[in-house]
Amino acid sequence: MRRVKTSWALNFGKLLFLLALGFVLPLGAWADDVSNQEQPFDFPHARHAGKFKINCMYCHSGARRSKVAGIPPVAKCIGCHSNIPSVRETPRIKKLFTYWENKEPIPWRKVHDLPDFVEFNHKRHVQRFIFKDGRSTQQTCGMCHGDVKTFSVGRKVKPLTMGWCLSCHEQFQGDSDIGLPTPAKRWMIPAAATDKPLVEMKHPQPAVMDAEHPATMKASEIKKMSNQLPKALKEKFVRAPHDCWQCHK
Amino acid sequence: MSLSRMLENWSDLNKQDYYEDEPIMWGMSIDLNKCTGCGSCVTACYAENNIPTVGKEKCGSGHSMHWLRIERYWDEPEGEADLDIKESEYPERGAHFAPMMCQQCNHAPCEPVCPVAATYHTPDGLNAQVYNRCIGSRYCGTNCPYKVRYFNFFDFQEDIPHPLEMLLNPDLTVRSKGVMEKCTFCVQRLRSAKDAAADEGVRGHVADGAVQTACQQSCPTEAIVFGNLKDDKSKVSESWQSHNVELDRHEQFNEDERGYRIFEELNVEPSVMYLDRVRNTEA
Repeated sequence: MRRVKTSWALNFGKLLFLLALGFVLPLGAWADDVSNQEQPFDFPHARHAGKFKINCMYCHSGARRSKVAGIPPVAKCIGCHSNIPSVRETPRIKKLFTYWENKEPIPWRKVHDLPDFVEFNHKRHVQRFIFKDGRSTQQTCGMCHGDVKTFSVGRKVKPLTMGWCLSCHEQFQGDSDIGLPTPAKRWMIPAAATDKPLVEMKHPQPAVMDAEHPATMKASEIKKMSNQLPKALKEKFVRAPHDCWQCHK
Repeated sequence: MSLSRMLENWSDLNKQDYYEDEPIMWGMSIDLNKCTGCGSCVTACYAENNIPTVGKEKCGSGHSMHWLRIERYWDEPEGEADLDIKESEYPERGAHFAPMMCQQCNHAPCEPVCPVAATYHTPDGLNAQVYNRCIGSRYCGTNCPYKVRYFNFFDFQEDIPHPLEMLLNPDLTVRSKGVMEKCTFCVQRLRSAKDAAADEGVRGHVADGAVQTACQQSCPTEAIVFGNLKDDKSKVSESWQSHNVELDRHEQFNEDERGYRIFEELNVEPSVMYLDRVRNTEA
């Protein structure tokens, strides 16, 4: 009697699991499709950013001075391509010139689309990591956008979820090494994400961070790292409230 | 500590400043002498903060939505001179007005009751509302003594005809149904002011006058002053000091001064100071 009961429960459990899986899997696939939907034409990032090493900020020029990085206007494409006759007759460039002659914008689909209640400021990140810390543009942009120089059209490769943002910001809150006027009192500053040598740091830093993938650090490593912090800082670290209104609006 | 001792020493209890290291605490001062009740602050607030206009019917059924409202008070005629106009619909002295928005209480009654911590206090003294966390229990609105929290009973913004959605301010969320909302002291402006300050290499400190709230900006008589209370030289803290209003006192013991904070006897520590209207009762 008892054996029968167990196996019934087991089967029911399996059924539930399969049902749940059936619901979750297609949803996941759908979510992925939304962010990687089809674009008007395949812009070859690999050729522009990879082969010719054009700086990301040449086309996405808003990144260093505004909240949004921006999509370049057709005029910017034409500005170069009217002087490159070698590719003028390729299908993509023909299509590009059709938009130009019709005076229409290219209807790009937004790939990295954050919810309305999220505030993300490109300027702060670009100013900090590229202009202040002197990191390479592709490395900095790649933290959130992936290795774009190998892409054709842009794809969303990082999750861009709140937990993912925090996985970077949380590790670096606390003391800062970049000469802020208010020492050690600021929250949510990615203080340690610099290329400065570790010996100059005031306290042990996480082994940051494969810069390409700052979010790959394991939870156990984060804990180990935070245990090495000085006591005062550790208390701050533990008690520091997260100010939701820095990123939510 | 007995209750009576606690009440006696309440002001001392209040003096704990959890955010004393923070360089900024936003505060406001509203001069009711200067307020003419024109309502431009209300209009500016609607435009800046994507507030839906719900209309007369919905207001009547308790679904009103205005982060900033002008409260109108009619004075009872007093003294001999007023006796003959006592019955009139418009007493000679007219109405007086009090702009009423979220007072950004430092001991906010709305904060501890939120079941999901969607409202909390920011280090710079704002009473924050995180829309995407709010589940719409409306407990905060019930607990607010000023009744300045408003609930989205409907998806108001979905009714906007096509080109008009371009009017919405992209710097803050368009709230959807089931979310509580309230005055934020135009936090999107504060954020961009901090952003601009950070560009100049200063983090946290915002120069006085570098940021204005929408209501302050539109006020034709400059009745509203907004700024950093922790900066002794800012206009707003000079205004607080000159009227002898202190943040951690739950009663302002100053008979001769005009400064007071609404419902401060509730120990909610509002960040908005009002300057009482002076009237000539003899005339």
